[in-house]
Amino acid sequence: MSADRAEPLVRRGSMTPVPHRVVDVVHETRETVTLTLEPVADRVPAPAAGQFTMLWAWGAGEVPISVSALERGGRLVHTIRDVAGVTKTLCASRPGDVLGVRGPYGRGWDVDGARGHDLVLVAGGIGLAPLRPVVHAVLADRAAFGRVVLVVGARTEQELLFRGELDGWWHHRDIVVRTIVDRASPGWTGSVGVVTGELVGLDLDVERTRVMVCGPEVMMRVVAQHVTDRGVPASQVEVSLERNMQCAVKTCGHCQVGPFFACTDGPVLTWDVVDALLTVREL
Amino acid sequence: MITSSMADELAAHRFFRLIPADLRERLAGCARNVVFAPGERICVEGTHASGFFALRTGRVNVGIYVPHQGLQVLETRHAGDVIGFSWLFPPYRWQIDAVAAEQVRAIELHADCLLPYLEEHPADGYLLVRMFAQEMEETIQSTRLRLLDVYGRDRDHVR
Repeated sequence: MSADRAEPLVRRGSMTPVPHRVVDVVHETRETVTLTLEPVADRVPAPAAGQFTMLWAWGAGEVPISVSALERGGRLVHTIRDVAGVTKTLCASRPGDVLGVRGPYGRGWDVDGARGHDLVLVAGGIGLAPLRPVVHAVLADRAAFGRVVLVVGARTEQELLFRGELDGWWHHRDIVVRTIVDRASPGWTGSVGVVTGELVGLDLDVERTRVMVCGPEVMMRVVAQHVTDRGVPASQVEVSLERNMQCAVKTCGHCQVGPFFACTDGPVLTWDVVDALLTVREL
Repeated sequence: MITSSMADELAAHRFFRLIPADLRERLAGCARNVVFAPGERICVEGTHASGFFALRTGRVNVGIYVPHQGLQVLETRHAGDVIGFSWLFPPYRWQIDAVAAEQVRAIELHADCLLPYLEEHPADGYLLVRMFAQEMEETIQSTRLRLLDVYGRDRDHVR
């Protein structure tokens, strides 16, 4: 075999997916799956909370998926909702399957900036996945944060993510967990309504509070308006933009929001930056 | 003395925080503290709406009883919220059921005491009705958001 023939057919660049093997599959809800991936050979850089990778299912395509936990040793954890297309293929993955990974990309949550502050985390639906690493970071260094409140909204109890962990967080002495669903099923003991309902009676030390919100854009807007109306500075409110990243490297323009690209300037941006943009209907 | 203490409690509640002190004093004369055990019914649909409740602690499930299915919870009200609009309008009957989801401490304000005063003092009545209108707007807006089914619409995007 000549030296030339040993060269790979395609040289790996920043846009080349890096093969990762599925080592664990957890079915969180009827349509949501958490995959743990291990590098087949090369690994991608370790992600930060709030960042995303481009996950490639061979033969199906590529989609942006947030990191839902930070692990060591090159392992990646992603929680994916089956919304048809590529995500359907990803959600059908089984241990041993190989997926491609590009990234991680984007600007994540300012966890370090939240140290020494009270923290209000508001997650809706699949939006809990990108915020889960923040909860893990808080619990790993609890004394570094002030009061921490996590509000989780979902359509129904059955669609709440990470139920086992949520119960654990619920029983944790140092973090307040509140769950609220749109529609109650028999036996549901949490609240019913929209997530802001859980914020109404919450005392906020507005100068000391950092807020991180992830969920459907309408929900994020309502939450951000609620907390800023109560005096929390907009610069202390972070939201994770819901946009369709395709290249993830600020080239294709699919995720552009005004002057920002969600893939590189975001997906996490502060409310003072995006407030006006999210009310522009054309964006 | 008791009235003064109740006025302080009203002042500490989100709903009454912005009303003038003299009106708060007047409202305090129509108010009393109440406690409900978990599962206790606070309002019963179709019965006389004798006033409203300002929640101090605890959660209350608001809904409608459906035969053979029990209470269908439509929304949960929290500390800082008020429950009860039906006392303001004829026929003064509760349109909803409300059940304490946990131990609830609340301030109950009596319509028999409030309504005659508000009729005689329309400026105060206008202020209070505006406050209730704002609560109603927030309730309607919450309902609109849930009708949007935002978590279902999340399907269009990927996280």
